[in-house]
Amino acid sequence: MSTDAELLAAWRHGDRAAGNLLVERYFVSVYRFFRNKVDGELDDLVQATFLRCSQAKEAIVERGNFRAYLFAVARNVLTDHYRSRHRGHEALDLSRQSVAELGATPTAVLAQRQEQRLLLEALRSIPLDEQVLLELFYWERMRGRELGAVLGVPEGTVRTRLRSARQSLEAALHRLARSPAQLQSTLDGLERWSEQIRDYMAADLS
Amino acid sequence: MSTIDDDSLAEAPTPSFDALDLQRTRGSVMGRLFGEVSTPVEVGGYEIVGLAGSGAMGRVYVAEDPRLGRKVALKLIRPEPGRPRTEAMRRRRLGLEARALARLSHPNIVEVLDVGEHDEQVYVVMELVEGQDLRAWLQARARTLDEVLDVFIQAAAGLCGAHAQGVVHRDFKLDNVRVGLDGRVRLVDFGLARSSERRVPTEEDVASGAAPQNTGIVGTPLYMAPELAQGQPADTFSDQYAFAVALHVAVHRRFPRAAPTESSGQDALVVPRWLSKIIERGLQQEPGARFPSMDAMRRALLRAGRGSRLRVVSVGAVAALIVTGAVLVGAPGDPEVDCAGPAALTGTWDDDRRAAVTEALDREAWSSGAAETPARVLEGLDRYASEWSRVHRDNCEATHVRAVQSPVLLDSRNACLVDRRRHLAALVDQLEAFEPAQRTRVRAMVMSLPALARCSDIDLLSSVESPPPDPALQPELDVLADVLARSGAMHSAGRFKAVAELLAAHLERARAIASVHPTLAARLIARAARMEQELARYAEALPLYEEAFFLAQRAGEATLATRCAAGAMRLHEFLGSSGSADAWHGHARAMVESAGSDSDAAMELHWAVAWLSSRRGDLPGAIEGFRSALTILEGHGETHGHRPDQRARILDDLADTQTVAGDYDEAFANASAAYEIFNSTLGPQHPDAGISRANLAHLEARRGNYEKSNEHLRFLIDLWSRELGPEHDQVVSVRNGLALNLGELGKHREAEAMLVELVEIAERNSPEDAVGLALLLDNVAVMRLKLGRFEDAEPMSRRALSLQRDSLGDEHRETGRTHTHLATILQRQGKLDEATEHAERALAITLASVGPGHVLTAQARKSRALIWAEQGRIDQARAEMGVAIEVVREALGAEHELVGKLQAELDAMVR
Repeated sequence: MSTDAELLAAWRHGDRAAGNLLVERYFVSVYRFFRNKVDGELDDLVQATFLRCSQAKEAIVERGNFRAYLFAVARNVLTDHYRSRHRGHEALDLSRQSVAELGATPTAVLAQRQEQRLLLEALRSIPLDEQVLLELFYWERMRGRELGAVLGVPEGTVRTRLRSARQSLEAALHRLARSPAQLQSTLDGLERWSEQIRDYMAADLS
Repeated sequence: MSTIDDDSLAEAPTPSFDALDLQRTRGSVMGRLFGEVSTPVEVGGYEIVGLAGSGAMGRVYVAEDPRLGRKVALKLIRPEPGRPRTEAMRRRRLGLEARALARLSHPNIVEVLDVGEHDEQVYVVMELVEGQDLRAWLQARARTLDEVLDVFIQAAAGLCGAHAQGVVHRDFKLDNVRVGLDGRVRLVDFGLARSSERRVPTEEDVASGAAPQNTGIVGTPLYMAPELAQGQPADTFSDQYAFAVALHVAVHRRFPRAAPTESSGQDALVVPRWLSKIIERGLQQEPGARFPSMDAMRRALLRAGRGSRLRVVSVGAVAALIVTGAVLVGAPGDPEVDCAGPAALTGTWDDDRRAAVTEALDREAWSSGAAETPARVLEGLDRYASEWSRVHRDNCEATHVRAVQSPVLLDSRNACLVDRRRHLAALVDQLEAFEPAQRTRVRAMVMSLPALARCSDIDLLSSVESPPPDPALQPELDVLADVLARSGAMHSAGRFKAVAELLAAHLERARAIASVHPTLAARLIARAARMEQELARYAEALPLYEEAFFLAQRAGEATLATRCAAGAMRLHEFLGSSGSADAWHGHARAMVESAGSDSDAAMELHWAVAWLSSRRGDLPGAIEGFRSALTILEGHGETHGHRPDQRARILDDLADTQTVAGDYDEAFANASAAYEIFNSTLGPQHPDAGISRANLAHLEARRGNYEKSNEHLRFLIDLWSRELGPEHDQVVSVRNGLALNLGELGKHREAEAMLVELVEIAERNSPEDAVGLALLLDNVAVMRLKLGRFEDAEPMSRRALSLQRDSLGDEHRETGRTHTHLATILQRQGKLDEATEHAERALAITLASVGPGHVLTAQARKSRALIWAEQGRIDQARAEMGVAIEVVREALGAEHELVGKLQAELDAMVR
């Protein structure tokens, strides 16, 4: 199987089949990345992400792994998206503003279970940077260095941010839960998440 | 390091999304990225039989019309990539096209049977013409001149028919002409061309003399009339131009202005002089110089062709026309800059265009302060035009009359003049389309014209490009040079977004010519970078600066390269990577070393590095840097063509830094100088002049000149209320300044009323701006404190504090300031315990955030001292007040009025 870097290089040199393969490989991840953050325009953003990757200077990608680069690009595309829609006087600050505050309401997310809906809603109500971090951690199973590469921060900072992102999420869940039972069941799920965070932190310290 | 095992991850609540939606998005993205369209079985009731061809706009299928039982051609048009495709837009386009197509009925136009929509794609059903397109027809075998003319006269008839019915083809080329087996010619794809599909011709395209085949994107600019490249809509004249290009290709087997090559020569015909003349006329740069209509051109072909045929027949050897070897036809180049003087500006700045600009400016109702604007603008344009004519005449005579200048230098100077004329034309275009939103910038627009002095200076001219080695590239270079000129004019009009879009659409083309003309490419890319920066898209701006730097460096354009390196340096610093900023500082320094220490490049570098120093807190270094930049700039005088506002910008930056450094006198002097320059060159209405005036007002207030400061502020309130709206945040900001000044002048009541109004505006318009709202609330509280309305002040102050705690946190200096104010408000009401709490908090915050030597910290101490005094702890209170006074004296100087005020409070305690 070709590596990401090989496929990317081939795509840049005009090999569409290679490009196709590479996009297929990450399509669901990128789709998932945008799904819970924007309403409409999803196709454009997903396309723009892959397109930018295919046009990037070679050196940028060769330095790191492709997936980290891909999500860094996706994050930029998302930032641009919000920036282009931003109307306020204050500068857009995605470390403070959440998807909910930014006025996007991705409604078409199909979540079978109520807890999932609650969780998605809570994720949308914490600062976008934190949302990105948690989703990459849990859904894409990214860890320290790779997350750092996506966010452009050192590995140590990732740990600090994960901790505070989780606190934000828990607070949001408390705020949004419609019933104690619902909260409990969501928190149970979250508990599993947080165990992972703890494991991860402990593992890193040892 | 242990990892999480997969089992536990499987339980992570990754959401499941709607599979259908995912599939739809996947299909759409894949289609747009890779052009993958699976062959449909049925489209709009037509059964697809097979694929006939695949082109730029989509695929053409052979289909069966079950209703009529005949075969048809069905074209499925690919959605435009990268464009928002809202339902409404699509329908509108579809509607327009369908109407246009349905209207056409002509024996030389393919019949459109149906237009519809399938799976979000537009399809067009046409009669199926058995035969081949004109390119294939030409390649199939050698054709005689008669055969070629016959086909083209039929094609011309098709175009005439469409024009007569009010439809423009927009994309006439060999591929869009079908030659049927019966010999009948039919045009296809009327009105379907899309501007986004034009692309730079590759070397092969030019060499092969053929339009590109299935390159994914079609429509080649080689067919594009020059006015289209300038953004004007397609019309019958641009169709005529494209027709002439196609005819040129058919007879010469190469594009106009393409150098003949071995392969291209093989099938070329001997082109009679009359035909060359007809083609040449159709290829004129100016639409007005072409045939008055397509029909006129068709008749010319018919008439002359008939005559020639008679002659050919009389020679009795039609086949003799099929010979090898190309005949060079004088290509219509740019209109030469000749010694004729003003005539060279005809169409650029002449009576007509002057009248048009006058009319556009006169439509505007100018406010009394800007009444002279139209006159100034016209004056500026006249002056530029007459200076241009003078330099141009001088240039011409130096070579031809006085013979003191080499032809090479003449060419360089001419190239420089042509470039300036391009800028003038672009500016006049902008002014003719003048909109009210541009009224504050209109004077600055004239200022943005590049200096003519440079065209006279032999040293500075060295960087002017020589013509490209391959003349076929000239049209493309002209297009890009026009884009550069146009973007400059649009930039000066404040149309940043439009400029960014224009440049983005041409970046690839700029890159494609980078090897032959790195300077032009670098300029385009550098301007794109600047626009992205202007639009706060820093991450996009950065790589563009870097790219432009390397191109400029290659081209030996030291100033441009330095400016790009400086841009990259600033952005890296701004985005938090100081290491990269330092590296780019190094690149810039290297450029300056080669350019010399008093060069423009050096000036750019000093300016940028001063900015860097200022940002990193090295204020003396920054001030030194700004001064060095000014020294170089002033040493250059007029010859380098620096715009005076460039000096003003540096002066403004210097004043800012001096303000931070506390050197208010120097800051005031420089800010005044900057303001004077902006005021006299850009006009008092220009946004930059306004910002400069606001700075000046701030400094006047700092110096205690509140009345003077208010004069400036009132002017700005008036101007900005009109231009931006009375509730714009800039208006709120200057009115806040005015209110504070009024407070200082003892007019607390007036100030309080104004601030209350501003709070209402802020709550209404930008409730999300907690920081700004808190500032206004705190100011209201302070005014009420001064009015003795302590109970009214308290809720305002508390609200400010709560907003700040939520938005800035409880460690921020602003929060600290509000704590101080609230402490005093509470103390005045005798709520001493709570007051103490806030005073203590204020001191802790200010000590940690701004340090013990800051005025804010001193004020926190003062509030604590007042509480202690109230509590009878006089000694402690006096000591604390003493410290506060010392700090203020140190920070603001012994003469500052605050020192006196505090001293008075201390004296009051003693008694």
